[in-house]
Amino acid sequence: MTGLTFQPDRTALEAVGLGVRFRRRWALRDCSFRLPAGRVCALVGPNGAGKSTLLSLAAGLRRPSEGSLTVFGGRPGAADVRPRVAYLSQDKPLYPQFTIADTLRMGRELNPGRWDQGAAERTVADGGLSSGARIGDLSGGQRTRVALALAFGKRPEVLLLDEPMADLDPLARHEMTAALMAQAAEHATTVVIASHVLAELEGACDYLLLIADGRVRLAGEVEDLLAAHTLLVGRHEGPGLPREFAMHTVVEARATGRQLTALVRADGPVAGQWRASEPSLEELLLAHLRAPDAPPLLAPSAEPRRALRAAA
Amino acid sequence: MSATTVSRTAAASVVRRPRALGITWVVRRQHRTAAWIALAVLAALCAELLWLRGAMTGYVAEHGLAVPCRPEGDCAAFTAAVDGFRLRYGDVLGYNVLLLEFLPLFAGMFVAGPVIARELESGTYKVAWTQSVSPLRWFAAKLGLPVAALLVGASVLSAVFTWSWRPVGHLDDGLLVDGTRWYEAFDALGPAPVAGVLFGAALGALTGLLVKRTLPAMAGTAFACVLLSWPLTTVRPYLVDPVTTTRSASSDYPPSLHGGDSWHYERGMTTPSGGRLPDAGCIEAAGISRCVTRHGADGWYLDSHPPAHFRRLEWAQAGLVAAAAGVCAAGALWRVRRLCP
Repeated sequence: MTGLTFQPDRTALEAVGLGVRFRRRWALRDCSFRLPAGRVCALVGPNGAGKSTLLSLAAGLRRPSEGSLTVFGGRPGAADVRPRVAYLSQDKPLYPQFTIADTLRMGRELNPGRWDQGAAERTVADGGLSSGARIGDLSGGQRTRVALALAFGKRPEVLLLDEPMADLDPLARHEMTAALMAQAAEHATTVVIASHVLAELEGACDYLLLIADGRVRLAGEVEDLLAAHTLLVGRHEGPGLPREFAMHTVVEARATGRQLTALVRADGPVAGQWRASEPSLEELLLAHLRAPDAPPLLAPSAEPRRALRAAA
Repeated sequence: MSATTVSRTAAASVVRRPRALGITWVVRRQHRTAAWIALAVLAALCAELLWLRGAMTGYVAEHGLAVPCRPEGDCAAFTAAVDGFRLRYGDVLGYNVLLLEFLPLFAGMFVAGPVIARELESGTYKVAWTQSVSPLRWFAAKLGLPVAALLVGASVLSAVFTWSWRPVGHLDDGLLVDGTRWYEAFDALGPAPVAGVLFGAALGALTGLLVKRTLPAMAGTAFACVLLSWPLTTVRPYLVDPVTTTRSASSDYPPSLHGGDSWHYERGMTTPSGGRLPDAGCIEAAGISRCVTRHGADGWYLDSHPPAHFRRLEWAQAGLVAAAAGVCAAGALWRVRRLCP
């Protein structure tokens, strides 16, 4: 899938010094990253990290307070960008008095020349929903399916999903993830999925954007980010970190008794008696969430190019 | 994605679709139920007014009320017939007037709540704004279509009511329609309801955009409409220069405020220097002439509008209300621009 859709030269999303302020609080601050087109990106972070704010910015629903965010090089919500972006907000609002058929008709009426009725109808039919059912009578999960059908029908080039699977049962979640991946693979869609449920992202996503406290902590290919970190386990006594760690960046170190477990960004081989292994995605994310002071890490492909050009 | 579903999709995309209507289809579908109900109510009211006109003109013809009773004639039968007319049609006319007077309020509440605030409250605007239509165009359709429909409906209803009221409105010095004379039914006649609905809708749009919650927006609009109708009725007589009659204070009695078909809206005392003392409480005082002398007045004045001023007053008020609607609409537009990303 990655081989087919990887388009390293095209940029789907690019943020430079992006900030959003709500009254006194900054929801996002000084965010810079780049998301290459064709990736399936997990947008991860604790509650209130700014995930939803970032997605609504990309959807053109709000303006940044400072810095910029571009979608395919254009302003989100611009006339040539809006048709190429589909967005599913967390609360999945739909008109309750509409039937499913009405809702899909709305998608067709509001997306002239783009709408893929077949894709939308298939998504609905796969859930066993009849097109005459009223949205107001559907369960939360069924409404999510209709909202996803509306998003798929738009044939987007970027699909922004805010907690899409939160109210789906495990079976429906599995089906919808499969449908999503098929959609992304078939049309080389760039997908951004915000979630704090790590399980629903593992295996599905090839790109990662971790934000916490409104700042980017990790950005890049999942494989590269995992490879850049090493999980070290060994015996260590005494206060402070072992001396041999000094030349590496320690993200987090925890001692249980005499055993020390540390996640480090190793700069060369680590001396001493340490069992080294590559961390799992979950270990990587949890370590970064527990250690808010660890320096951020952006993979080369996630460095914003406009910032580089400006600096050059 | 099996082969069968793919071929089904291909077949579906070949099927001819109905003509694309864009955002207007969505707005029409949203308010379909409300539109049908409003249309049914409008039809029922028109039928009722049609009947009312026929019944009233029939009664007038039957009892010979078209010509006022001359003093030398037998006025007992005439008076009884007038009483009968009022008994039969007075209340019906009154309720129709009341309904038309509240039309701007209903329009405002509808625009504030179901049209605007409900979208912003439930977040459904996010769905519309993330399709291929710009928020500005969405707002334009969202407000334009219902407001146009409301204006058409108000015009029809006002025209039919005015048409029903007119054959009896000025008969016998307005005696038949006492309580719904032209200056009492002012807001239900001619262009007044249409201008009122335009204002109500603009106010509703502004309130909905500011409050963003359905019920508070509706309540706020209703409250503001009632509140603003008070200054309107206060300034109404001053929109057109009145006919002023004066009377010397030597004739003991002040001129009557009961003017029949003429609207006597203000009386007071005049001073020798030409100044005016609007009602100084002398009317109720025991010795009117003594009271007049005490205030240093030497005469009475009465400001009134004869029926001939009706049309000019109606259009002057409609202009004023439309200007107020313009102010609200400008506020709503400013708000829309603030809300649009």
